[in-house]
Amino acid sequence: MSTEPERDLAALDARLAHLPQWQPPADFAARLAAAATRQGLAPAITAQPAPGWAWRRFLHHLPLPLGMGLTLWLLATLPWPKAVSDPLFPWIVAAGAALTGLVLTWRLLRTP
Amino acid sequence: MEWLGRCARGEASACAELVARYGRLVGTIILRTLGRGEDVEDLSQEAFLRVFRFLPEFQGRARLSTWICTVAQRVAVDELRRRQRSVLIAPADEALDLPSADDVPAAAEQQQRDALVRAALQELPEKLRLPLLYASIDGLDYDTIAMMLALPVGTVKTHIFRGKQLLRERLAMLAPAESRS
Repeated sequence: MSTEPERDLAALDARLAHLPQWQPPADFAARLAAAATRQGLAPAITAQPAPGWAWRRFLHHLPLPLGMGLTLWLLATLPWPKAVSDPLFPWIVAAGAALTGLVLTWRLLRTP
Repeated sequence: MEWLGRCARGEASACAELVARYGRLVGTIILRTLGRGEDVEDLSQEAFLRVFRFLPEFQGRARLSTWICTVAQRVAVDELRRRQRSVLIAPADEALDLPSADDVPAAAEQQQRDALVRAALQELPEKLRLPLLYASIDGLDYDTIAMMLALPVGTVKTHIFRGKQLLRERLAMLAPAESRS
């Protein structure tokens, strides 16, 4: 036996289900496909055949373990007191930050 | 899914098939997000053009429908941000400016109830309103909504539950007698 709040929520669900849904015009698909063709819509990224997608996925994730490995290696091997006092150190840090920013921006631009 | 590959290569018939399969879902997501019927067709078109353009980037990590819904949601939210205010179907004042329950026929009563729901939804914070609205769309499960909103599934469920509670309170305030019917 349902309680009053449960009945209220069920009634609310029914009302929400009643909200309008969009019905595309009958020729929407055909018009859109034609518009895409008319605009000469070129894929933003060159289409890859399906078998290549797994390889691309691997490449997509590769920078993360590589970066972590490089960081660990640097942490372990660099003579840090000497490296930090080197005049080149701030430039290297800035270049690293800029490169990271560029990579992240590039990835962002490739999301729809 | 062979047609998907043809679509990624820009073949018109395959693109039309994709639109035929997901057009209604994409349009409904945009409609619910914006709360207005106007511009839905244009924005749906924009969403599909983005889908066509970025389809080769789709790597199958999520379901195709989830990915398309995410694109549609982004298009709609971009538009929402552009308008800088979220209005649901009709402004609240307009929605409430209806004849009283005493002098409307039964058919119009349902319309009045729907208008009240829309007005109450408009008063909800966006982070509760959008998951709640998406959950009411056929074909959207919690996982898809979580992906669309970039939130954990548990958070989505919490937002929906909290949204329903708040909506019930708002409805009770807007029409105390109505909300009990």
